[in-house]
Amino acid sequence: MAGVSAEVITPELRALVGVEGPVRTAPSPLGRDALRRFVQAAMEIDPIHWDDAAARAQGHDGVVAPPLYPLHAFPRPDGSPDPLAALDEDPEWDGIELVEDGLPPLDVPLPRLLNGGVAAEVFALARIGDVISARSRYAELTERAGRSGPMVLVVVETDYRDQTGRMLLRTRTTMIAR
Amino acid sequence: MTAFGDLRVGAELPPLVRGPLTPLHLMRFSAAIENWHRIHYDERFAVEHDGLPGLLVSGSWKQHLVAQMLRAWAGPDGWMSRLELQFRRMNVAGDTLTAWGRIAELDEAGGVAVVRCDVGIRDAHGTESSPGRATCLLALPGGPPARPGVA
Repeated sequence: MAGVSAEVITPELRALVGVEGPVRTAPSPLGRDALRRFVQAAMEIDPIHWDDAAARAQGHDGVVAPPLYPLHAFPRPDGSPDPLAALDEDPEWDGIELVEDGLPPLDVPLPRLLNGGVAAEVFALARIGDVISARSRYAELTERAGRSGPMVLVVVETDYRDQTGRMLLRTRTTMIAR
Repeated sequence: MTAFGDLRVGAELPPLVRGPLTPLHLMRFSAAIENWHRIHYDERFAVEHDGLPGLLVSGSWKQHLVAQMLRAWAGPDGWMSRLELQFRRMNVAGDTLTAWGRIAELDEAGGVAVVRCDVGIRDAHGTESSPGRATCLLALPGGPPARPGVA
């Protein structure tokens, strides 16, 4: 069927490039206990993440978070529903919760969505007491011919800032629909 | 340029080895970030329901491992400014993972060395799962510490 190709990226999809979601704000300031749990779980090796003296020796006010920590700074707020209630409906629930980036959904007529990778740019390390916020936007939408048919690459860019507006981190996540 | 002070294109960075990663390690990471995706801690679900070879190590943890390796190398006067990984293959519980890096390009900007590296994660068999690239800023001998924003 040479010359006949379904138009996967419609003008409506194309119009999403540049669209920003709302600013999302962490439900509480970064606390020492949350940071300790993360740092131990990720098996961090730099003592500036748990030893105030080591952090001060490097010019910080006290312990600081690892550079990619802002990705995990958005736990459920007080009063939010129990995610495991999904097991009452479906005992084989896979446990996946959608990332709430607040962006309008992508109506791509392709069945599979894969995480193609994450590019991070690091500006500063979050401190204890910082209230981290994030804002996402659709940065790129490209169509490619894959081996098994058309593929759409979607790049979502997210900026993470502290309560003063200081940039901490920018991520570019590539989602592959095919 | 291909050499800059002690830095040489092609030089390997000191690797960071973690493992064997047990289900306990994977469960702890999922709990710390409140990610309830069962393929990271429920082996029956991972194998029987999703047809996977075992419990999956999360991609974000692999990215943290590479970041740890780069920052340990860059030192307190250096700065890891960029890190990009592609999650091409799975790593499962029982694997021992090595975060590795190799200098690919050297430059100078704002009085510091700009070091572009190829990076990735290899399992105990040497199979690459997460190839990527990174940029670190390094202080030059006698020069100022590297600060974010240069490259």
